[in-house]
Amino acid sequence: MNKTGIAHIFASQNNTLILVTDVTGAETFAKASGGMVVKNDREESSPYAAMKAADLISEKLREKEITDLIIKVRAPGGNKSKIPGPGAQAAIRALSRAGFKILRIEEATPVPHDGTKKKGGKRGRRV
Amino acid sequence: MAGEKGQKKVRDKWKEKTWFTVVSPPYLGEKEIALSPASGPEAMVGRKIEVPVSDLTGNFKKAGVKAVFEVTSCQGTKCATEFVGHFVGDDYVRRMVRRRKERMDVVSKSVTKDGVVVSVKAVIVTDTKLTNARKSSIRKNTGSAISEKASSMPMGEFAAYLMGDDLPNAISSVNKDIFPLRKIEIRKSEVLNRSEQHEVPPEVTPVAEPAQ
Repeated sequence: MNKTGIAHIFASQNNTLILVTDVTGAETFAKASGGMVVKNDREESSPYAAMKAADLISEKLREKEITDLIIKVRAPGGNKSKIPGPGAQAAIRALSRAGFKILRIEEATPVPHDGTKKKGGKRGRRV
Repeated sequence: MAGEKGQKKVRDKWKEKTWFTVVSPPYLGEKEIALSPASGPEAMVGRKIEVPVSDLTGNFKKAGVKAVFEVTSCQGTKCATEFVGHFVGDDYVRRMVRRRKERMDVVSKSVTKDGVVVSVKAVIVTDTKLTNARKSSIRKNTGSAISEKASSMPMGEFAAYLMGDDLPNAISSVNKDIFPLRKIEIRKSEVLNRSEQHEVPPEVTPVAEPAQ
């Protein structure tokens, strides 16, 4: 049986976080974020930062002899955006290019059954 | 200050860990489900694993259904598990229900033959809206059908039965005189008490009505 990990990718408009755990979720294999690889705050969520973060992750995973990955992608969710940020796709692509066998890709955005009102007021955020 | 008095040696915790093989319960094939690293067997106990039912049975229609197992004990590097529930993806249930269709949710607390209490949550969809009388009788029939099936089999057998196609068929057949059911899905199940307890819950005594 192959050593499998779960890559939890949290992609928002402001950053991309990647955390790889074992299948039970109890042990952390590796973690990285967009902010660890770029200097400017506004670049943390960029596809380039996500790719670099995924490269960091794949290096750590290779040390621990992990060969297979299950990917769980999530957006901020709740009463915020339910669409993953720009880093999600780049991170998945970088992980698959790094030679890991992707067993399945799942959507893990938290969706409220009902909840609180979205911030921004009655007429929405006016930019 | 702290740096002057000899630097602390950082222990590599990863090297102290060994890989444990997690095995599904005997009533679900005793297959190797996963590998998980831990510092010792006691750290493994209590960990939960979600496995697609298609991996256990080979039935690809059940790829969206996941069974949840909890590690109960370890012998050497082999860890035994117990079934603690299953669930169907939320998006699948959301797709089942459309406009002008009726959705009925049935939550039934059932006791198996060996005394395990399981909460079974079913979703039923019909093609048209129903009257309240029909809805309540469908819910009642469904709840009793699930409890009846649970009481006739032990937990292991019931776990496999829950995730198969037989229970929706049984629900459909008990309700066919009331209204044809379009879709039936066992959305979720949860084991509420464990097999080591194996106790039948005490019956709730009804509260006496105040004397007038």
